[in-house]
Amino acid sequence: MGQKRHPMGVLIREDRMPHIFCPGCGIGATISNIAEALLESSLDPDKVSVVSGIGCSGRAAGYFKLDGFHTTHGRPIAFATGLKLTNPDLTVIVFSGDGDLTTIGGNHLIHAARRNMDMIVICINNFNYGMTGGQMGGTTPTGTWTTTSVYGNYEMPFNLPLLLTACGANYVARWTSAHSHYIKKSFLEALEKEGFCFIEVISACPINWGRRNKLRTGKDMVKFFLDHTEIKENPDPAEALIQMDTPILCGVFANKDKPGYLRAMRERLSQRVGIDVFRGDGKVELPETEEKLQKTVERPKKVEEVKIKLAGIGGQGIALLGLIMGRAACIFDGNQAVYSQEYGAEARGGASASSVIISSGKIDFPYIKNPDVMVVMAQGAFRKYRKEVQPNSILFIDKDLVKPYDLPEGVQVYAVPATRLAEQVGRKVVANIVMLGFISSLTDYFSLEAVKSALKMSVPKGTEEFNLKAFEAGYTYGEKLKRGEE
Amino acid sequence: MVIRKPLNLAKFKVPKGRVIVLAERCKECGLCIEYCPKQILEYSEDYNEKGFHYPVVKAGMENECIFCLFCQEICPDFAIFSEKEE
Amino acid sequence: MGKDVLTGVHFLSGNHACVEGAIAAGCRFYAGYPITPSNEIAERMSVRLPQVGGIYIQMEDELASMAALVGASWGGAKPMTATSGPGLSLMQENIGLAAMTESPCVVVDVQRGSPSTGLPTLVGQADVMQARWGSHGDYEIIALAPSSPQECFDFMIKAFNLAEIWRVPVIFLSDESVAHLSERVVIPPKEEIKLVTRKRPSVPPEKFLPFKPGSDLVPEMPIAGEGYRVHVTGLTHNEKGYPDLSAKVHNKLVPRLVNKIRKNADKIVEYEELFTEDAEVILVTFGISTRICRDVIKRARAEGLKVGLFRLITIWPFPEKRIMALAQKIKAFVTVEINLGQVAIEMERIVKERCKTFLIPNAGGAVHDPDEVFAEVKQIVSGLVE
Repeated sequence: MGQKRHPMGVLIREDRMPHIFCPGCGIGATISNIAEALLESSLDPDKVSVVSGIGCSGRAAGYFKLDGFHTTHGRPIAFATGLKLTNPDLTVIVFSGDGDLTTIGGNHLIHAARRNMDMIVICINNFNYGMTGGQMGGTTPTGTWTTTSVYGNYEMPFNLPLLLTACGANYVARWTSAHSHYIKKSFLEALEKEGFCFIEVISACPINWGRRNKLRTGKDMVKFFLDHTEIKENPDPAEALIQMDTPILCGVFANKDKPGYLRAMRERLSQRVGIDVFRGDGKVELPETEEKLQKTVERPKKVEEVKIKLAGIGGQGIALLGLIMGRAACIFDGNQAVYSQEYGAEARGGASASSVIISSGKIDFPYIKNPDVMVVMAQGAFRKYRKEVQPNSILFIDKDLVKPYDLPEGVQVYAVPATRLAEQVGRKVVANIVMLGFISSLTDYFSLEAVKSALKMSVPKGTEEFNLKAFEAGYTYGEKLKRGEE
Repeated sequence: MVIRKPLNLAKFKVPKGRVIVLAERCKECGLCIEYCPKQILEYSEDYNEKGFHYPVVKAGMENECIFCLFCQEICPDFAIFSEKEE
Repeated sequence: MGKDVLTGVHFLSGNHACVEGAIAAGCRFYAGYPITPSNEIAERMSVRLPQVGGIYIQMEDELASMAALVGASWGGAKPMTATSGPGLSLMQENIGLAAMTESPCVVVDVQRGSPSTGLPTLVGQADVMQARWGSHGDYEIIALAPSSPQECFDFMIKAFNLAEIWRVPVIFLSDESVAHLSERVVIPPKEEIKLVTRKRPSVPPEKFLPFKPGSDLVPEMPIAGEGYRVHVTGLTHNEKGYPDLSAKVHNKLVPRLVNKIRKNADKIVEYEELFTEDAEVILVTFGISTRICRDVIKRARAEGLKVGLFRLITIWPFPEKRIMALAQKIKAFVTVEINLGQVAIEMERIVKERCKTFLIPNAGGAVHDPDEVFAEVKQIVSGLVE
């Protein structure tokens, strides 16, 4: 007679039986209960994935005949997050232990609950680290004995229903491994829900925990669970702390219908980006968009390499000024340009600088040691950077805000009342754009058309005309200066 | 007022099952023996390959299984189940 | 925007170019945690990925980010994250998982001054060794180093293709300097970008062995939900994917993971040479330091010094064969890197007595000063003549 097949054989890897769990261990029974519930549900098992971490319960993923992922210690929820968001059609179950999920992986647990990430977490809580020989952990009840709490544990354990409820999980339940029917029922309920569903299963660990706490066998532990649990309708999670001298409170602690992560994301994004489906595997049809190519310039403008250093104080738009110059040279004149910002936490608020190198040829060293041109928009910036002004170089300044001193020989200074002109145009903030117009008038680093195009693409939509006015103000001032009128 | 009719026991048929034990998977935790509501199971005299006594149906109780599936659900080792007898 | 490939001419920072390269390569999943100087990658990803129907998720830490990448990879994504040294340290655990489970993914490391918190806003290149063996155990990965925003774009596509072909995490060793330079970036038309995807199962589930390698030592990769019902574990596993905790299986699996890169190195390795035909001294460098060395070589050549450049595009695997060949005919290699000798030690190992090896180190915070490098190179060259 051939061996009869276990009814769970379709969902369990029978080629790996007997499993590694100790006699009387509650993990196997819980795996069996979940498998049975899956069979009862209408789910296609091909579309169900189980993710586990490390530890005894972590081996669960290897016993389900499903796509199963045995990941790193504490990280199954994070792994499952990536899997679920990549393919939202999957039902993703995290099956792991208390040490894995709540202690080393505690951060992932609370954040997945906060995000209401769409997954079901089965947390086997056996009060200790079984795989490594029975050490205490974040769920070991106070006063109980483990191999690393040989005088009795004096720490408080997590109250998981309270923690998970507070973090915002949609569904939170607790049972013991003796409550097969309730585990099944809770799991089937969770399958119908979106968002984060957490089922804690207080589980028998007779060999490593029970043995040290007068519950030597699986039978003793199951009897203890049946005698020392209290099942309530709508139990108060605040009363769910596990203590050895009071009954373990079981039941469904939270059953809400807040939008899960995927729905919340879709609701927020679809309208704004014009797409309904978001998934990491790229199986999304993108709407047709107009081609707006910025083509390569056919005949680039010739320019000798010039190194421009821009300095000012926070809020003057020094960075934008450099960016526009770079874009003008690069995108619209067909040249090479390197733009960089002095970068550091201390740059905020104080004087800061950025630099642009423009050239027809390739630029190797991307920074500026000896600037050909310096643009200084504030006295503080002048003080900080004045030693970088080179002999025979060019210095552009805001006429009202910068009073240069101790300049090296041969420096040609061009001054424009940029801030004042900006105020006349309407707003002080465009002083940088006035300066840009001024520089454009007096130099030949980029073509006028190029710099205007770059300006338009770099300022906020709707402010293009206003910025062009500021540009013209600076440009006109420069033209007048050339004619000797200013 | 709800009037409860007495059950007509004759109309209800207790299901019948047949217990099957996959002896080599058993680790002798005894949960099935302990929690069988009809108390039809006992430890085997024999050992399995790992040296465990596995459950067997007590002599003469072969027809007593009521297909409640308690043993199957509580077994941590996928070692026992029941098949419905028609 | 709203398109996946932004064909045309752009002026982009290295970090932004990485994003466009990734999206052009088919990346639709990003999980990360903010860290300077990589933040512009996360920021632009959070804008761009929703526009192309992808997923941006900001995780609770780098441990989670990297774990999410491995999960996404098995879900069928081409996933990526970006970080800097301290974050890369936290990612090592699951980089190991990705290596062991052969999960394609790309990790951008925008290197900053280190160790520890070091110089968050300033350049470094000292994660070379961490990129290779930062996680425990024997494994091999691929690492690429760009020297410009254009290369950030181009190499990101390379990085995703290599990850898919060899089923390894690819570490993209950018640095603060490249990350924050803005330059001309030309994005080609979509049809000109060559993309590769991982080998997929060629037999039905009942005949499939998920970790049975092909002749290239790489197994075919199923993804979750396709009916293959695979078991994937970080434990030592047999070809079926089941844990098999024996020396025999371990000695089959781990050498394969290593050899699929080492034995295929010729197909992976990339480098760039300048004036090496007649060079007596060759500068060896990578990433941003390439540009300093190019500047130095121009000056050296102008003065008639026979100095050449050997620039690593892939740092791992290391271009051993070519370096050995060059070592036969030159007098010295001079390694220029923003660390205290991580590539240099590899050079010494390979070159042995074939020629001399020198290092121009720099602990970080700024790129090398080209004047100083040039002066040192001149000194080395004159020392060799005597």
